[in-house]
Amino acid sequence: MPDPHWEKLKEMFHAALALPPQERAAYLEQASDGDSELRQAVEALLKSHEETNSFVDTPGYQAVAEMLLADNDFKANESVAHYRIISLLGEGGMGRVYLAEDTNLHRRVALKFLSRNFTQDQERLRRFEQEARAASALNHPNILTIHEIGDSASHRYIATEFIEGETLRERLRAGVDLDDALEIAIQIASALVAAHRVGIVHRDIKPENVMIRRDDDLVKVLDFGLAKVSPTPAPGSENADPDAPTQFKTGPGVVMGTVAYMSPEQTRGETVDARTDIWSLAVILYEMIAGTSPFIAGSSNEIISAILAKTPSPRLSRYAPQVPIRLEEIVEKALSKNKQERYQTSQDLLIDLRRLKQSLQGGPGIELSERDGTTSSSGNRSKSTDPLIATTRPASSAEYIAQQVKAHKRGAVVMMAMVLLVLVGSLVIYQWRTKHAAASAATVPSQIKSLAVLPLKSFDNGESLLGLGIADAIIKKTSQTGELTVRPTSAVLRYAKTETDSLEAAKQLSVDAVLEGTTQRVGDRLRVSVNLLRTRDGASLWTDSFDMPAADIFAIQDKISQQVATRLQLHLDSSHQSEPNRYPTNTIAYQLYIRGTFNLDERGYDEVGSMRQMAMTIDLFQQAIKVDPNYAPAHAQLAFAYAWTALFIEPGKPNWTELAREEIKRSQELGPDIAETHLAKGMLLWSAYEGYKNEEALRELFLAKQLNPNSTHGELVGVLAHVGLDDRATQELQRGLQIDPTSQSLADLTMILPYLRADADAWLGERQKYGDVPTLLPPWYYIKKGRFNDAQKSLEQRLTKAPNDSGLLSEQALLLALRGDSNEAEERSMRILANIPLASESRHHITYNAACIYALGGKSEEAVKWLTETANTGFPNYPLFERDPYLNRIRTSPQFIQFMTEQKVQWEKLRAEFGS
Amino acid sequence: MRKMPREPLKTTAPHQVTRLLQEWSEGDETALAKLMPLVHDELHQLAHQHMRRENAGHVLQTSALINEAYLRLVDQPQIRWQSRAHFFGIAARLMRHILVDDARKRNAAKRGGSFIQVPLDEASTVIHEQAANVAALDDALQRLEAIDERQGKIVELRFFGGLSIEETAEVLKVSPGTVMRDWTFARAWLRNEMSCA
Repeated sequence: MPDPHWEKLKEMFHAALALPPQERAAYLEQASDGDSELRQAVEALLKSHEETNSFVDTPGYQAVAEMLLADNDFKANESVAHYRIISLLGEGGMGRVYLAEDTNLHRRVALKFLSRNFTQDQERLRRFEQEARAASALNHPNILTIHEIGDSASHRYIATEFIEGETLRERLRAGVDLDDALEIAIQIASALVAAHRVGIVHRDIKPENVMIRRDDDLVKVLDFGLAKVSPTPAPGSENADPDAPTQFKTGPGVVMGTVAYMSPEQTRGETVDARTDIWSLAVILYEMIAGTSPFIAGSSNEIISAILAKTPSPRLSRYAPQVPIRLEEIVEKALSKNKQERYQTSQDLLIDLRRLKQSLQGGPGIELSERDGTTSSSGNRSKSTDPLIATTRPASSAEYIAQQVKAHKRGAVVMMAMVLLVLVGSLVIYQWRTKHAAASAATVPSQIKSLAVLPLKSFDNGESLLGLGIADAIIKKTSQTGELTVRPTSAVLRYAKTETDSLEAAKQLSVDAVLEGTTQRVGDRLRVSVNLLRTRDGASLWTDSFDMPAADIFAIQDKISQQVATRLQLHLDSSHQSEPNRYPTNTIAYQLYIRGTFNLDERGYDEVGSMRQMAMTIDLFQQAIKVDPNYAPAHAQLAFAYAWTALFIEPGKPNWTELAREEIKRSQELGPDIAETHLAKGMLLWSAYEGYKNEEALRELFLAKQLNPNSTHGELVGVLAHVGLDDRATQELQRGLQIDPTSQSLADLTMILPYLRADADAWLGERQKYGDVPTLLPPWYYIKKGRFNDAQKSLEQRLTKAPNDSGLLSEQALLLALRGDSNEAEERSMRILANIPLASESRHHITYNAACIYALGGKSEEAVKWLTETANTGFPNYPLFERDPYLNRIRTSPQFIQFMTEQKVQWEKLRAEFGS
Repeated sequence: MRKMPREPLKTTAPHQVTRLLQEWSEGDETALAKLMPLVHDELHQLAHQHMRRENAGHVLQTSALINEAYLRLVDQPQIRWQSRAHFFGIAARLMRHILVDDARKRNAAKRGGSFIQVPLDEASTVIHEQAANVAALDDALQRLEAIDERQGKIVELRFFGGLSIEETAEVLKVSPGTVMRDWTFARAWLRNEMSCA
């Protein structure tokens, strides 16, 4: 066996090793006897011998054993806690990730096990769990949901939502077009907004941490808050951030992917905050569009140098000449090396991205940027349902404000009261004269289709709220024309308090033009100056100032709004130009009216507290009328408030309808046609009190829309959806959301529409966009999905809170029928119906369930009887009847065929008149 | 969170393992294929049991674990091993097979890259490096065995079996000095091989 060469090698190695190092060379020279190959081999071995920390050394075997034993290695079908392992998905710095089934909830999850070198560090483990728990509280469609952080036996694991799809890194390899890049960035930004709001900073936003779901391209950001404690490499410099990881691995290719997304402050090892995530997202956005990172370099250190360099990264247009200028600006701002100059909140970045996307899709707003005479490549690829409008709540800062306001209703009322107090204080006697119209005679380009009127700034201390009152009046006035989309007051509220630049505000609100202004008191006179700016280039289209007695606030409002409209070459309907009763002669009445309108906006359906709120609203309008009996808008709003109460809040008490009718009549007597009057009429017509005159109701609602195209018309959407004109309803809803993305009632409707057409998947989609999705969805959803056990659970949970809820009880009966207990279902169904007033607006849903219950039992006569009542009480939804599988058993019965034939005629008639 | 009852420790029938070990030591390679998953699972259960007992943070004594595994696995009265040395020899070989097999799978999984879910962090870890090292070591060890059987055996016993110099000497029936010399050389040679690879 002994190979002479091998034996010689061993011999020389041991001999040399026995010698002091300085004598070895001489020995090898002599012993190798000219065999340089042999000599080199021994030298190499000696060198290897000197090496320390080699893998082969003990306790190397121990580390290997740990790899095998301690690192979690599971096989298919193995059980861990209440999970069943399905397969290995991947491995990461913290440990292995498996696909597993949650055997309790029968859903697939990703199970991440923490490796032992992670769990051995108790302090790090503690912090990790703390972070993970905080992150698990995040509930947002764009954030990977953490279901559970647990331990079973020796395993520490995190169970998360399982996403089938690819990482953004993989998507990047295939190339991302502008639309997709924006959409992805918007969704990441949405995730950031949700996390930042509760103080969680991701710290490691990079393409590897972003998943894109295969089915629907939904973006999910992974591992929120975990970067803080995970062994993510960070620069080895002194760490000012005590939470920052201390080790910095410099293996080639190991770190680069991560370093490239680090913010300058992060690479310096400073404390990081939300602005670091904004930076990282901007790097990703840049990379998606340019196809290359803004910081390209051969090594980690060079990348860090580029990040820290004072010079800004190359402009996006260098790589993508067709990129919209606005996008370039957004990326540039988000990539400001100085974090003070960056977007300060992810919310602001999100707003800008959304606005840009909307404008690129040809929505109202900024026109496409131009470069080299060509229009941006990203045309009008609009999607049928715009996911970005409702991806998260709030969708815009205005919405955010609105939400805040809603969260503090009392605060809002107090604020409005303050506004009005200031107004009252400043009004005495009226007379005005116009100063000359200054500057620019430039004709207003026709592409100005949207306008924001910002609260006027006051030069006088303590009077900033006066400007809001004036802005509100101008908004109301200019909204009367159909050609101009004017952002509602709720959308500009926030600018009353901030020092936002008007053009910046215009961009945030996605309008073509913005009106800014100032108020200044000079003695007992008030000077109001206004300036109309074009968003695109900041050009001043018109400036003017009005000098008048401080009291003449309504004249100021009329004058300014009229001028604005004229300048925009819009044609205010002549009937609207001089309306004696549009504005009250009395400011106190106006004040009460405004407060009432504000309250009315907060109206609820039948939940507890709705009536108290509505009583307050009604009281305010009544007071306004008391002060100024001829104030038509107050009568109209009061009529609507009464009608609403009659339909939704106290359907058993018919006197509300009488009151509503009286007020409708009064407001019509007083003069001009007011949208609200027709709204009230429309709602009454579509009610038990007027016998559900669907066509007449729709005519009134469309008339209201015609009179004031810039109100949101949720009522119209609701009625259209009930009568089975779903396309038209969706169309009107989209239009309403364009006018006021902040509207709560429209947000509700986005979910009501799929509910009415019994589309559970669409409903869930909308629900997810809306925000926090409860673990246990409403029973309706599970019933539609055939998940009866879940439906049962959900019903039980909700019924303990609301044991008399007729909707839930009716669903419980339906579930019984679906499970085959028809007799019990029918009996219960009849009991429930006996307790619902005939005038109740929700009754038709209960009667429809009853019809389904009978149909499931094959009792066509009873089923058709209840279907008939359903159709006759505001819910003649022929397409639903046609489609609903619950009715399948009776489809061949003569009664049903007869019923459907009649329904079809009615529906087609409605569609011919009101369909899209 | 619902606490699930702990799963009872899985116990492989000892006589089955003993029989397979015997068959394998007598040259039946098919026995190895049957043996490996059994031992692998058993080691798992044991390791986790240890960790439960000793809390995370306690460094596991691999050789102790291996000993325990064999004590549990092997039906003692049935054993008619020629010697304790034979037992350790076969144990180290088995361990090597299991470790190398695991490491190669791990490497393949890492290279495969078709993860549906992204890893928590792309940075390579100690575990990954070790998996690569184990595979590289096994490659080098196979070359060493071809040249010098005894040195190969020593590495297998020391590295994979976790035996001391003295234990290795006893198993191989050579002096500890020889084991020391061979081990020193083999270690240098393997390091050199692995760094060149």
